[in-house]
Formats: sequence, C-alpha cells, structure tokens
Amino acid sequence: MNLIQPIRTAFCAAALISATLSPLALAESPPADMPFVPSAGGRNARLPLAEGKEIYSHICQGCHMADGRGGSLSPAAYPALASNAKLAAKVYPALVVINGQGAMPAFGTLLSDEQIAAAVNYVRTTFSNTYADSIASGEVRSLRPAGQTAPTDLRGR
Amino acid sequence: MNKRKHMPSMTRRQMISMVGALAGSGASYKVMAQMGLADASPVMSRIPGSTRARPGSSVLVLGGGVAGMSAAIELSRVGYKVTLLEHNKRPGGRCWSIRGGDVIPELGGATQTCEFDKGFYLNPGPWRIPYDHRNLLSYIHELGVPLETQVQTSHNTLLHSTRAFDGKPVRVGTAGNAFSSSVAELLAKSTRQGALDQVVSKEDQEMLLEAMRSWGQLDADYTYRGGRKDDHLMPAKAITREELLKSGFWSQMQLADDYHDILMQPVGGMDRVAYALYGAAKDMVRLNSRVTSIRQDSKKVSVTYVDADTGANQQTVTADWCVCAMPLTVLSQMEVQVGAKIAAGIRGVPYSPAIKIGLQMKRRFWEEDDRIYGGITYTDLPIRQISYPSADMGTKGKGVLLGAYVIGNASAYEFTALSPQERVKWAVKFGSQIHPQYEKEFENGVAIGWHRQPWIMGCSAAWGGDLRTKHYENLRQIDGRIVFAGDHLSNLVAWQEGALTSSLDAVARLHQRALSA
Repeated sequence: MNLIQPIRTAFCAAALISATLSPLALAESPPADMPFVPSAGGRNARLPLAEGKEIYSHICQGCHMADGRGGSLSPAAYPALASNAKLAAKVYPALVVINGQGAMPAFGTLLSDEQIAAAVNYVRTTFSNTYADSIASGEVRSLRPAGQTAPTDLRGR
Repeated sequence: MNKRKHMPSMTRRQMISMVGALAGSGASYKVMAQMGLADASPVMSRIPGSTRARPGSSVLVLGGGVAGMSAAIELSRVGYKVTLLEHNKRPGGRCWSIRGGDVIPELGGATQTCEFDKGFYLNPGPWRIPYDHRNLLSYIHELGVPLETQVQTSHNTLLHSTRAFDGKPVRVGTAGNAFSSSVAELLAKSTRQGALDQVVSKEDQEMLLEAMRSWGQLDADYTYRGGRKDDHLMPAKAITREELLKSGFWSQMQLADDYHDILMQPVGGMDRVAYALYGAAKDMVRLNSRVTSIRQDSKKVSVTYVDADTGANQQTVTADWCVCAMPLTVLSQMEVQVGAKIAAGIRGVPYSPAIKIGLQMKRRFWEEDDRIYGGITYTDLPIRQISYPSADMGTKGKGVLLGAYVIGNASAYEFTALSPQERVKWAVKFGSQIHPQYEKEFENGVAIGWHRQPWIMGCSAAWGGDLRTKHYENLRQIDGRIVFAGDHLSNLVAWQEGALTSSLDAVARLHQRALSA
C-alpha cells in the first residue's frame, strides 16, 4: 500500500475541486411548511434565509422559543426577548448575535451582515417590542471582530 | 450544477477529509498525527497511591459527569474526604442512556416520556468508544464494564444525496468500489501514456499497472466497466467517475472512513460507564443537588446548593479544595468567586448545538429487507445520518435506530427549534426518503436537542477562532482553591476521553498544590 496511498491522495485533489463546487453552496429557500433548509447540514453551510422571521424560527427559537419568552428550567434560564429593555440599543443584540455570550453561541460565521440585521430588526419589532429605529447591514459589518472563524468541526464525535 | 468559477482554497480540514476519503480506514488519524493534531489523548498517570493527602484534607467536586466522578475516585483513593454534588437524579451527565419510561423535561416546557420497549435505548450523548481512548478504556477495564462491537463502516450501508442519482441511495461499497476503480483507471491510463515516467521506473510501472488492475477491478485493457447490479439499492448501471464526483459522496465516504471499521460500545447503553463510576464513587455523591454559588477565601471553598427539584432546603458545604466539573454554560448563570480571567472564560465559551433522535421500529427491516447489519448511512438531508443498531443483530421483532445525529451546524439549530414531537416527525419524514419502510414500521421516538437540556444548555464547548488562545489556559489554572475540569478543557471536546484527560490532569495538579500549600 505504500505505493498506492500517495497516488490516491493526488487524485483526490482533482475530486475535491469538482466536488466542493457542487451541492452545498447552492442555496434555496425551504417550502413554507418545512422548518429546514435542505442544505443546512453541510459543514459551514449557511442558511439562505432573508427574512428576520424565518431566521428567528430556524435558529433563535431553539432557545428563545417561538413566543420570544425564553425558557426557564432549573438550573437554566434563557432570556426573554419579549418586552426586553436590553434591546433598546440596536447595537447590543447585534453584538450578542455576532459574538455569543454565556450559553449563547456566536452566530457571526453562520449568518451574513444582512441576516443579522434582519434578525435583530425582527426581534426589536416583534414580541411586544416596538423600537422605531433599525440596524443596517453596514452597521453590523462594522461591529464584527477581525478574523472570526467557525467553531471547531465536531463531526465524527 | 453550480456555476461558481473561483476555486476555494483548501483548508487543512478539507485536506484531511480528502486524504481520509481516498486513503481508507484510519488515514485521517494518521494524517492528523503527522500534522501534530492528534496528540490529544495521552495516557494520563493517576496520582500515585504513595503520595497521600494531608490527613483530614477535603475536596468538593461539582458535577457528577465522567470528569467529576473520576476526580472524586482519584482524590478519595489518596485519602481526601470528598463530597460530590450533581444536579440530576442520575449520575453521568451527558454519559446517558434513555430507556422506556424515562421522563425528560426540557427548556420551553415540553416533556417527553420515552416509549421504547424494554431492552432498547438511545445514547443521546457519547455513543462510541475508539480503541485509542485509553484513559476511558482503563476505567472500563478496571470497573468491569462489558463492551461490544459498534459497527462503523459497512459496505452495505448507504450514501444518499438528494442531488445525485435521482435521490436514490447507493451502497457504500458500490460508491467506494467505483471510486477506487476510477482512480485506478486514471492512474493506469496516466502510467501507460508515460505521464509518470519521471517518477516511476519502467519496472515499477509494470507492478503499478498490475496493482491498479487488481485493486480497481479493471478489464484487460485497464478500463473500468464494473459495478455490481444485483441489488434494488444499487443503480441499474455502473456509476461513472463523473457521476461519482458530482454526487459529493467522496465527502460522506470520508465520514464513513473516519475510524476503523469497528469501535466499541458498552453492552446495554453508554450509561453503564456512568453507573460503573458511580458504583465506585457512590458514598461521596449527592444527586439532585443544584449548586447555587461557589465562594472561596484563603482557607476554604464554600458551596451552597439546593434541592434541584424544589429549590428548597439550601445547604452550605465547605472543603479545603474544589474540582469544578460543571459545564461553563451553567457556571455562566451563577455566582462563582474566581479571578477576572477565569470569569471571562466562563462567560466567553458557548456550547455547540447537537441533536439525536431515536426511532423505534416494529421490525428490523434494515436487516430483513436491506441486509444492513450495523453501520451508518450518510445523507445530505437534515438528519445527516442513520445508524443501525449493532446489538441484537438478526433478532426477530423490533429495533431502535439512531434516526438523526446532527452536530455543530445549522440543521442542529433547526431541529432544536422544534418541539420534541416535531423533531421525531421530521426524522421519520426524512428517513422514509431513504427507507420507505419507515412509514409503516415507525412506532415511537425520542428526540434530544442539547440546547434544551437545562443542566448543560448545549452539546459541548464551541472552541473556535481565537477563543482557545483567549481562554483555554486561563481556565486550566488553579484559581485559589478551585480547579476546573471537563471535556471542554481538553483537546478532545465532546468525548468522554477528553473529560478524563482533563480531570486526571486537574486532580494531579491540585494534589501537588495541596501538598505544597
């Protein structure tokens, strides 16, 4: 096998070039009744969702719940976004989404500037929140830390 | 197909994937070792029994998972008086098996009651033990936990892509053979056209051609025309090289090849490991105890805790030292008296999402109809994997499949966002695209979204970017009288082995500190 393995490796470079250009990069919106983006399970796949409402229901709802009221069960507490005074400054939720905080994961590498802006604007105008101002994608971009990278790949665990 | 023109640069992980896909079993580990990434699991020495603790000295261990219980066992062995506080009513933390009758509440208000028949289980956390996780295996051997084979790679499991072969699954063996045959064909062609004259001698070229013909099952003219066609799960004609590359299967084949063909599992469920450790630590463990604050001064550590169910009956325990093996997520929501750097680490390292779904089927159709005995099917659907039970093969009647295992990606968040019933419903819906038998045979299921489990709030530490540089070494330092431990403080995050390398290292350092204090 000493002979064969380096050669297998060399061929693989060709396979990689063809294959990485294919499926997962292709984005498509899920049917309205489907709570999944078909390609979202790929490594470092992004969610091709534009609407704040969709982004919320696919991701944020996991902890902040469908009604935005968060969750509480000993010993954990996920904060409510409903009627949350901390959302008054639009920069604050955007920073938390980008960097994570406490138990909340960082979404800076999963979501684009536009998606983060859409999600922040959605929660600031939903769940009894009625903030009049909104955040623009350019402002989100300016909040990003330099060189943020995705968490370590855990596949194979 | 995608029309993107630019070529993505190859990451180290992609290169490892690529080598893994083609070089076969174990190659990823080998490459990682060569790249200096696989030294994560050294054999840790236990505290020598000859170095006894100072008489009367005591340790509080917080968290009754694998790390915490091993810390308690090792410290008590050398004479510390140990008390361990665990939030749940069972030992083990994520080392957990769910069986029929188990009631599982989650954040958001839903409660599941597992309806599996007697004898079946789901390991929602760790589920397989590699042969080189030597610290875990040493406890397993010491404590006498029976192991059995868990099949990882089987040529009869399936690769499935919604974007290839009209969404019909292909056997791992079929795709794998097509891959080697394609490689062999190309290489033979290159050799015969003189492309390798500079690097392979004429004499070796003869041997190379012979090897390629045999390995790739090529015809006399070194052409690949093969491919078995005797199975309803195989395409009607041989897979071509072009189809294979387009399918993206090579990436799934890497996963199928990540380990040797078999790993191990405890007979009867992963929690047999937890209960074996508990058997050795029992006298020290107080279950159902929710820690509410951790304080220290120059003389002692003082921890308050309450009844985890009622929040009542507050008590305070003190000790000379503390090993804190609780999740950072939980620590981030309570009072912990530590220095600023550790406090920043506790707040700064969130946990990754993951889900697992167990599905009970009336009939072991994967064995009876599809001749799949253990192993894993890979798909690009949100469920990502279906794992077939390695236990009770060939028995009549029911079986429990791992119907979805999604970790660290957007689909894991999407599953978490659903109610447990919806998670199960979608796992069945997606799975039936691969095995149409699901629709008739599905009976009941249980679905764990790790961010909804209140005692952990996620699957495992999501180290990434510069987080390790910022917080890892800080979190490993003994802060006054407290040392932190757990898989999150190892290079094997989300493995029990990581919990042990961290814990054994932490208690050894704490012991040294205690003796020199």
